[in-house]
Amino acid sequence: MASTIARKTNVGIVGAGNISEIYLKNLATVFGNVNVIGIADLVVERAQERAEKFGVGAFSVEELLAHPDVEIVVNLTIPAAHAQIASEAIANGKSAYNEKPLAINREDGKRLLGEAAAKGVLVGSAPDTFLGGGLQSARKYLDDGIIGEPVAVSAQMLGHGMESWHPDPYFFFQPGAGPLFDVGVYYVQALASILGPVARVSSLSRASFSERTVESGPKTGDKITVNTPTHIMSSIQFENGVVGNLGASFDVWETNHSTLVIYGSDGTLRLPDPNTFGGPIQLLKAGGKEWSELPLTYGNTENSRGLGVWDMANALQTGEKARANGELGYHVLDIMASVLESGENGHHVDVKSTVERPASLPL
Amino acid sequence: MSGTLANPVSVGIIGAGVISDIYLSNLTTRFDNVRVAGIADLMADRASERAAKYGVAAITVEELLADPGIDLVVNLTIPLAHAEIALAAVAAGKSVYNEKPLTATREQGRELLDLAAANGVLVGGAPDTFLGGGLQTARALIDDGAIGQPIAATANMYTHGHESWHPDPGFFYQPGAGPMFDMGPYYVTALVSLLGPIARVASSAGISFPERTVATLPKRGDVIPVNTPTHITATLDFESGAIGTITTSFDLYDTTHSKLMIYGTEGTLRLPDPNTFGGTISILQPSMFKAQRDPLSVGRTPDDKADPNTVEKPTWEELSPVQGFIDNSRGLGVADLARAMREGTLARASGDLAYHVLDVMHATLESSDEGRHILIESTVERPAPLPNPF
Repeated sequence: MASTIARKTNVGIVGAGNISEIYLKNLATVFGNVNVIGIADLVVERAQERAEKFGVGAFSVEELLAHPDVEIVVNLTIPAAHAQIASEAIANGKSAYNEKPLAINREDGKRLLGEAAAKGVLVGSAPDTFLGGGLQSARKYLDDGIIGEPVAVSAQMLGHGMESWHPDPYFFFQPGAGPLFDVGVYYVQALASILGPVARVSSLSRASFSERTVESGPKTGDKITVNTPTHIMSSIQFENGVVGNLGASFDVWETNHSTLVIYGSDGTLRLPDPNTFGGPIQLLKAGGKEWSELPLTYGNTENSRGLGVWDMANALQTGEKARANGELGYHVLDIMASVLESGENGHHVDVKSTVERPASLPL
Repeated sequence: MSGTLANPVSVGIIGAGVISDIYLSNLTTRFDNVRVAGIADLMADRASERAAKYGVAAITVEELLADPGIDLVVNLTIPLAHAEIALAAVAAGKSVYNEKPLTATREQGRELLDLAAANGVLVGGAPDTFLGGGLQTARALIDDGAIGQPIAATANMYTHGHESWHPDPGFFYQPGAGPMFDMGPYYVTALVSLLGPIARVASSAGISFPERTVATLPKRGDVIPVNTPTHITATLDFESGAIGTITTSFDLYDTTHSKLMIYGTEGTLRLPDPNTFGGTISILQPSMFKAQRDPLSVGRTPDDKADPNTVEKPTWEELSPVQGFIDNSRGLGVADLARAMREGTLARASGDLAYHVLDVMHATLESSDEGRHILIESTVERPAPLPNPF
């Protein structure tokens, strides 16, 4: 991405797990407005390995969080550590960008927003797939009225979990993960960024299987106790009146597991998998029989994880509002927590937070 | 049905509208345990026309209800008249089979079932599509464990309403109709017949378009006010523990949605349109995945992997119905009710089933209105599979 910005924003990464590879690649070599100072991990060797590969510094977590040059801490730790690491970064006067979710509960999420505001720094969170070429193009088509007024949405992430291929799938079945927090978050963030805030949810949920068995790698045969709902079906009402349903499951066998469809007064738009940055986008016009594929009008269609950090760095430079911002991350967290709460408590939950739709990226 | 019964059940039909044609066609030719004595309608001309076509008597509603020779009234009136006609039939000592929904309100439905029990007669209700070859084959597959234990279901009925083609579509948009009461009975009845009773419902419902405009003559251009939700999406807790979702909508443009899916611990069934008797069933089983086990086929895209849209997915296997009734067999539920009257068996398209479905449909609107989950007070046994041959 070409940059005309004179000064680059200095970034430090905490967490050298699987996902850090693509962040490092994009932040160190693709986006021109950031400079990666270094990476840290509780397991020092992991940080060193990544650091060498991308020619950045390797630090301890404490060193990185205290590093005087770091302006944004990109927090790629496990979800349960998101709040604590971000909180320490903010306390040191740094902006924080968390992998999804912002935090694993509302209290932590809200606290982070308060701390960031008090310190005058920014907080943001993944997913940033909604800034990719696929979803930005879809948003533009919708805003231009290609299907008229949106009236309904269906978002379904249906699959049979991770134990068949993931070597260490334990955490997917614990609170803070499950199909909604782990994968559904892409769908919720995409919807909130395109249709605006959600006002009310109701849901039913269960863990259809109380135990999972690891099927690959050295832990093959190990049993995992399931401690969070793995089949979650909800109805959602947006502030603008749109009524939709959101399903997230690790319990079912399905092949068309990723579907995100927005229905409008004059047609229907099938959106890309929101866990990707590209297409396809398909349109059905009112009364039509055939779907047609629409061209993508925005770039960033490859795996562009880190776009949200790029955008936060721009926001720090220009004073404009970041798109994958903390308010959006918190609203998404609030929706997901409300969905689980409704399933547990047996009543509809009014989503207390709200958010402005983030601005479209410039064409 | 084979053999000729010495003592067929004598049936009187009330309501000579569009749907009466297929009932008359089937009840006069396909089921030898019923004999159609006559048809009545408030508009005598309509009854006479149908009567002439099928060689049965045209009589008035009062005559039909007073005729001691008629054992079973098939009530094909408009939904708002279902309760009044059915109560009159039951009060006259006749069994009754209502078109869907059983009645407009739960109170009417309860009153009907109670009066029938007191008078020693039976109540049945459409739809009977769940007795068709498509859904009965699905039932046999589920009961045989083809998909393991059912754990989830989705039912979707999407259209953009009826004003584009129907000459007088006003009633579709009034309380008592809407997509749930108009089309929901097919979907909810199918789900209950396959998975058993529903214990709890949570929903959101809305009116996306406050007005509709008639598109065909003679009322073209007339504006219809919409007075009932036209987009309803609900989650359903089954007593078995399975969780389902149902969306019924007059607000959507779509061509490709799956109408009815049943997910089990060991596979998935894609079922035909429950407003038909036949249709193709598709099955997906874990073994079809194992052959090409890939992270992308199980619901998550690890980073730096191929676009999931390009990954080859397992092919669903298509199965043909193995049961007999795969064409429009409306009236099958009437023949089954007639058998129950003669032989003391349990009717499958029973009043208890139709009442439970009515109870659930009301709950899908109430839950959204009141902002709470609704516990379903009624329950029902899954109807027994249809014998093959019937």
